[in-house]
Amino acid sequence: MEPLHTSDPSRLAGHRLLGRLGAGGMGVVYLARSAGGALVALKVIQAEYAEDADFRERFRREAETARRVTSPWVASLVDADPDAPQPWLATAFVPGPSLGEAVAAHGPLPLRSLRVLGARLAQALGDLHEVGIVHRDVKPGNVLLALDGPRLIDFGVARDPRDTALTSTGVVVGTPGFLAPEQIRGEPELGPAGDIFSLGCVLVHAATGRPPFGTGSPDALLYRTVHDAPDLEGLPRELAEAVGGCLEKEPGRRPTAEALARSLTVDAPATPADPREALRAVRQGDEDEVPGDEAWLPEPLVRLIAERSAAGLAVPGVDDTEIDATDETADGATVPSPPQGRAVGRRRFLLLAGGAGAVAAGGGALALWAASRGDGEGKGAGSGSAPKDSMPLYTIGLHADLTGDQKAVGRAQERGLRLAVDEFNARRDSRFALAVKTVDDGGDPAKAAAAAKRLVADRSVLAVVGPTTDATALAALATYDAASLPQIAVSPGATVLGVTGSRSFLRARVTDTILPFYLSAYLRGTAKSRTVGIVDDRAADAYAWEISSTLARVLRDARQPSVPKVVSALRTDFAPTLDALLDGGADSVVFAGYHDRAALLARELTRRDFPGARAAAQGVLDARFLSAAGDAAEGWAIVAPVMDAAVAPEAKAFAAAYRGRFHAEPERYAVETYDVAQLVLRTLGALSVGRRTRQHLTTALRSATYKGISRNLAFDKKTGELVVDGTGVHLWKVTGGRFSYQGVAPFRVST
Amino acid sequence: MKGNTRGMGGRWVTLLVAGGLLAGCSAQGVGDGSSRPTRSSARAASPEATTPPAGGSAATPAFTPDADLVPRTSKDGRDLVDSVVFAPADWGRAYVAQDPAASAPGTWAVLDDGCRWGREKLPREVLASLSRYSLLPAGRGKGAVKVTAAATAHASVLGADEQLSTTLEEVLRCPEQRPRTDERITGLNSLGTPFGTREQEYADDSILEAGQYVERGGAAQQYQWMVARLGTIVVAVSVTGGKGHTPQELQQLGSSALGQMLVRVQQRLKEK
Repeated sequence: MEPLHTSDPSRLAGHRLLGRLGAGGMGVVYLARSAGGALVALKVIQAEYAEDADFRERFRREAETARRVTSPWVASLVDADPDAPQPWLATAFVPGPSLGEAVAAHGPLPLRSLRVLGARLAQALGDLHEVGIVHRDVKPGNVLLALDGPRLIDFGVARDPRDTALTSTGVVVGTPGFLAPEQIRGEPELGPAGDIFSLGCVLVHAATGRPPFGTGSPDALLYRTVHDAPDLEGLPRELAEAVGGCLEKEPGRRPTAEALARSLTVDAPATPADPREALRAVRQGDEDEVPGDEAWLPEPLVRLIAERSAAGLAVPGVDDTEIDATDETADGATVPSPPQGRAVGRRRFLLLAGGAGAVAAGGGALALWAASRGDGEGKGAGSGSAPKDSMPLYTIGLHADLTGDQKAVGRAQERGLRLAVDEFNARRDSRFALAVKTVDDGGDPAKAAAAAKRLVADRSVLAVVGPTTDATALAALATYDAASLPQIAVSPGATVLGVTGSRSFLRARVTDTILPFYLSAYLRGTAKSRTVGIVDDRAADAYAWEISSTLARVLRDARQPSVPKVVSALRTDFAPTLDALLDGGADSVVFAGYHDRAALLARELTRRDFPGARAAAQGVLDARFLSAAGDAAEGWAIVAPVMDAAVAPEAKAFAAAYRGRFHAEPERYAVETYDVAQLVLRTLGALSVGRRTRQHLTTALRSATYKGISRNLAFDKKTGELVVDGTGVHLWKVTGGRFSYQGVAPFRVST
Repeated sequence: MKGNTRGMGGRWVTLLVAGGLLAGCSAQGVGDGSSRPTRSSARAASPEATTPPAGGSAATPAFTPDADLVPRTSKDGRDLVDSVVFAPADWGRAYVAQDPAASAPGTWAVLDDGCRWGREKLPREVLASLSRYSLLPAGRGKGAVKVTAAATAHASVLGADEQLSTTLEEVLRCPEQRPRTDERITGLNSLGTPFGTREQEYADDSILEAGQYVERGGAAQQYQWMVARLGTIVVAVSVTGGKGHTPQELQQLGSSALGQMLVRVQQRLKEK
């Protein structure tokens, strides 16, 4: 809280002013003590607005509607005077941090807290909706946390849905990133369902630390809200259905507040049955700690609230989206000139699309945001999202497994892409804007072609990053090729992808048949192995065979002995395999296969005290290997076309940006995708406006080169395969139960 | 391949596709198969193979044998392999038996540490194994075609599956092999294709090997070895042909024979 300014009165309308909670274009919110001694948030409107008859009328209605609300989870209206020379409104003061502030300081909330938060906010909305009020600005900054539950605040924009006179045409009220699609489209009749959508966004943010449509420039945010699937990674499974329902694009498909409150009140199971949940909990540190029976919030937040209460102070929440418009000039007619031209904290003015400005008022900022004037549905970009001067907007598609076996990889790729796009959009010199459109095939090859068709059908999509796996990439290849839509695979390594003759296919990593050269270099050089045992797991079919057969050839060409062993997919006992390796004199083992069965071999090797080196390719670089193999995972070396951007010195700036954007350590394949996105946006930028088409981009990308953080990108013009230059393959080693990054993998045996 | 071409006709086509890809992708060691049957060889199946048998059910891609008919004893195994393995007349009118015409009973082929083929007594797990060697003599300006047909009955599915693992292992170990003292097979590549991958829908598992065959310092001939497993039964054919025989022709000959041997296995083991 700020102290009072010298220009502030010490008393106002019978209240004693104690400090400033916030300020914005419309006025100031004070912490005040009422005549009766209660602490209130006193919102006082600037005189210049008070002279506006329409505004005063609107204020009066706000006060009237606020009086009709009786809800335990809404900060109640204490008093108001719309007819005073400086109209004011007092609401109960909630001595707690905002949800936005709490998440920023202490990370995502645990499941139990999320349930309580969601159910009570749904109840608050239900109480509002019952009396005909739509809040229209539900966001983390408008949710304050108290010891007994959340409080929904700020009636600054609450209005009766039948009352359309108060808002001028095309003006949208709310905060981008938490607005419903229909709100963005500027539909005149905004129903309660818009609040439900916003609540869904708030719950995702509370559960993951990230708003479901990301952060960044307003145009990208709004575009994503209308067109993209929400980012639900990290959302507890138990909430997925309820929260996902809130985020339906179609208002009619969202639950009512009452139904939502009911579904969130269902008793939660004590512990997740899926061990991967436990693994995730370990990775996230103490964020998932379960609060005691009394507290609905984790201990650190309870402490924070208690401290605030003791001080009798609370600072209103920090907005999650901010738009710095200081260098923009609005050319709309309805821009209110901001008094004193100052924004408080991180709140800034929000300007968009040749429309009116936005102002923030304290107590929880309210943003008025003007959509582009009356042009309804903009082509491709969605209404209101086209930046000024009709700057073109292009879309990069992400085709990924976001919900299946490789969802961790898919999600990391999405984040890498989004980071690059956000940075691009934030640049002052950008001559076009970029959006991201994601499609999820769940890792199912049977769904991959349909997913590809969705991206193909969107004409604004000029390039696609993905798919995630060999099988889905193969299944989608023909669809992209037929549409001449350039497609850059980041993680698939199967050779077959490059030999089908697709002209739109590019691969940003070496094929699996290149990795054996690195495996050989590691085993013979670093690990000093003399006879390499090769275990081909038929359960991994072609992936295993590319590695095992190439490695056998590489060793044979180097006149080095090897002991190959092919294991039936029906076999789960690796003891005979190990017998054969030992009989053949193998002093090291390469496992050509995936993480699950690698763990079986790892355990057998440990059980038999096998002294030699163990190595594998990227199929074993999976957290599930660590959990399944336990101590037997120690010492395994992995050669993979992926770096650890969290520790690699060359990725330092990327890692910092990633942490800032996602509140998480960079995940595998994020920086690799970031590099690919850079290549795409640079190549696109180098094309003249008329040539920014799929066809031209396909051709341009084939001959494009880019020196990325993780590798150099350049392609074989005929096959679209990455030019192999020794960059981009990295060595990892399991130490202390985790994958420890060793740097760029050696390509040659050092002597 | 997903339409109405199911049944054995479609299955043979798949084998041919896999063969075409194996031959086409050997530059990087061993390539992968494509799921798209776009190769011209996909349409090169033999006329009898393209006639889908009536009542081919799309709902049962994997053949499930009648448990009572699966061989459990060596005698049952011998009866089965004897009735399944192609004799000279099965290959075609002009085919004759080689000398010897068949493998010694109670033995099977084993590749030793020196990459030489020899015959050893069957392990306990194997019920019976039989190979028959046939020959299309040279004539009309074309070289001879040597073919082998083989079948092995195992006591367990795992045992049969491990025969295929061993077959793949042999190529990793020995890309050059010596069937007899004066014969050499070189440049071997192989690709295993389990049921359901790369549209392989004709057997529980399959392998295609391809390389060159040289006899007594003569010209290199094309060599193919095709293996398929149905349950506990493994069938295989090899085709070696020289001058005047196109690769497609030889591949078609081999996959047609393999397919028909698989039909014989199914007929013997299906519920009556």
